[in-house]
Amino acid sequence: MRGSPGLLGALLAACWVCASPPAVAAKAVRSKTSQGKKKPKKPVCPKPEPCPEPEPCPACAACPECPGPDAGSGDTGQDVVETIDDGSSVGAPETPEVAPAAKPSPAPPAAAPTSAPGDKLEAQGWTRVEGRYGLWREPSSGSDPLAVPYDRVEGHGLLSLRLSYQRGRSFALVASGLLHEAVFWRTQIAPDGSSRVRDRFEGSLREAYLGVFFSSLDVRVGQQRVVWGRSDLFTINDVVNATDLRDPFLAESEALHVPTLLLRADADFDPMQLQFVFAPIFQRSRFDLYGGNWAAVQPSVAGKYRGLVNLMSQLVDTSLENEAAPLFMQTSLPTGADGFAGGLRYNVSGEGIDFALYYHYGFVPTPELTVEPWFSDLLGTLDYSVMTPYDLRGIIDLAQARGAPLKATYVHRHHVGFDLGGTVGSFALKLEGAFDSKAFFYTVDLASYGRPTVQGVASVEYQTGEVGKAVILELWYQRLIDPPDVALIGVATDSLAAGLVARWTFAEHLEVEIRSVVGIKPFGYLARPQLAWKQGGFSVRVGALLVGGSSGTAGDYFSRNQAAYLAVRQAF
Amino acid sequence: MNLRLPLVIAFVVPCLGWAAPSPRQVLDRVLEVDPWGMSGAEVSAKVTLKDGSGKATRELAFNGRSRQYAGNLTKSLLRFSAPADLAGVGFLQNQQAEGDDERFLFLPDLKKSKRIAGKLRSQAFMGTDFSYADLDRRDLRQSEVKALADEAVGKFDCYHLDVTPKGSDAEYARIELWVRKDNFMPLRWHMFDAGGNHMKSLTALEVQRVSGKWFLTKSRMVNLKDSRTTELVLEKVSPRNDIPDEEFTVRTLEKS
Repeated sequence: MRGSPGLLGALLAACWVCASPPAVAAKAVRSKTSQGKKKPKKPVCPKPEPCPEPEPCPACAACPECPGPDAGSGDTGQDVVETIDDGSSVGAPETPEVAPAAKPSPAPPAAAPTSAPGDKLEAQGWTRVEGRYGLWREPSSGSDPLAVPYDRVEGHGLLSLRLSYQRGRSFALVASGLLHEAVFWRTQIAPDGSSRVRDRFEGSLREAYLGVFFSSLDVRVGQQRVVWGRSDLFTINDVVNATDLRDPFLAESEALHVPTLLLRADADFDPMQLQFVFAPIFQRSRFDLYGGNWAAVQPSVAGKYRGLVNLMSQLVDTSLENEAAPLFMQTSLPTGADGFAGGLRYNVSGEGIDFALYYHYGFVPTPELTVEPWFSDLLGTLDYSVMTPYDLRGIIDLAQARGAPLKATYVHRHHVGFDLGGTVGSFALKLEGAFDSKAFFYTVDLASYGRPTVQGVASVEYQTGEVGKAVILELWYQRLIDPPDVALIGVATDSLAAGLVARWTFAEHLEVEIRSVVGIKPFGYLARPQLAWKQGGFSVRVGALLVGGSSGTAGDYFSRNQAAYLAVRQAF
Repeated sequence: MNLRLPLVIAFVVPCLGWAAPSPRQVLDRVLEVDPWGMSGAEVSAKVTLKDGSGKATRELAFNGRSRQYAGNLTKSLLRFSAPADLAGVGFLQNQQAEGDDERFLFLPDLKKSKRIAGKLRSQAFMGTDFSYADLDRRDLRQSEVKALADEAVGKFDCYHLDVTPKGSDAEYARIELWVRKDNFMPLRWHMFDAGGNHMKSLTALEVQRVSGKWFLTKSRMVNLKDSRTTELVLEKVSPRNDIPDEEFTVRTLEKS
């Protein structure tokens, strides 16, 4: 062919441009425009500059000098918002707010990408009001000097608030607190037979820590909660924080552990992570010695001790019982350099498997109890049916002369543990093991025995991907090494128990949940069925706590705690 | 000798065939597009669940960060801010080329994260009508595709594709896609089960170009089985390619 390009030449050239490899296409553009004697717009690179072609060209995207799909509108790359109305939204209800298709219009400037997010301040919290009615039938009526107080009705009001401030990704400040007002109506078997009302107000600082985060290292200092282990019911490796045992099954889950002053450092050596924790100050677990339904002194405790604490409680105003509880026993709390605890966690993940190793040098959560033999013998001779609180003077004088007859001492122990987790199909499988060089077990005579233990937990969780639907089954085993030749409360040489958490949501608002632990050896049970109606952060929950078991088990020991409850909770 | 006609046939006819991308090429371009900002972006999103009558039953809000790695694979971390009972819940997903994706859920009241089974692809994501499979798009990645007749969606010309997922854990037996020709944004999805029943439909209501990248800023998923609807709105989206890899770890997920 000769001469200037006619229609055929233009057609050939256009095809050549569209179908050619990228480099050739770019050259073809330049040669084409140079023939038109106009200085061509140089194809601009890299993305997201506009495509040189006036019309969208499907193969243009393959050209390295074209920006690809971003060139769709063929304009200068300005941000654009386009609504789509295809009139065929299958199955959808009428949505009159959808605008009819419009020409692309410049969008408001999008948030410019920033190299790091700015400051962020968040406040979260919840409030809860709950009423409980005890279902336990008291065996006797009238005044019984050896009867242990029982709270028939409880009312609880709680307010939790958490504030967190984050500066970019490198710094965070977190603080949280909890206000708890509780009122108890006690069917006290007092000498005058009257019922007693007491209340308890607690304001506590929960978390208060500062976090500094680097690319492979996080450091947090302050009062905080550190969770170890993977199991949900039998948390045998969750040993860093002390526990609050005053209301172990109906309290909010986040209130069950006591945040501790800690230095925590997490180092990432992908795929391994190392965590170091150090607590310079001893933090003891919280439990009621006497007075509450979950107190250590229960009807099964030897009568001579029940009579003593009953008499002592009559010296103290009901509203001060909580403050006076520690005075009932002389405790030896670790102080100074003796009070530290620390530990290491090693974690590695890969191929869908998570594995962790734990070591913690800390304190046995419950104290070693020592009762002087002369004191125990003395109490056994007392007739509490005729004694009054003023008769305790002689006993107190004797104790001062001969030395403290009661001691509760916190003792160090070594904890070593591991856990392993993975998924198979829709199931998450977990295995945990732990060895403690010492744990204390008790008799009804308030004697304690410290022994090493080995524990294991196997867990299967059926997952649905939704927070409100899960079924978890756990099996727990404990071996008491070198057991004493006495009957211990709730423990055998080899103990075995099964636990179940089943939670299911219906119609988006109705949640049914059952939590239960069944002791297989020895036999005991604890179950908490619950029905809840939830709407966003608001929920109403009604349920019951069922506790029981064969004689000598923990279920039998705490069987007075059967109760029905109604709780209203609002998260914000 | 008149060579014009043979030259036309030799050059033009093949060119006409080469001008349109193949269905596989179109699908590959769809996979390169990041409709919900899950492949290299920061997003703030709101999800509204509606019942069959159109009444809103639940609203979720979350912030998300994501990055692309190893081809079309992505890592993403979402943090829920609403409703109040989900505030602080975090979700981490790291797609894998072979085998199940890695997923973790962080529960702030328990202060620990849980590994979520990878076989949950067909399950609803946080109670919405979007499944994990819809979000990871593996059914598109591992599929066979053929072209159907082009069709317009609104005023936009679209490729119409018939996609047959081939993965062993595919949620759908067949997916029909309408892909906008100019920017390869999927504007409509129809999902079918093995019996040919139309299970779900996803419709784009609004698309937005931000810093040269297109996003599906408003979309509606309709579950035809129970007439439920989920609307996903990206209220803010910022494309980013510089989010570091350590942002998508369990360590970061547990920072609440």
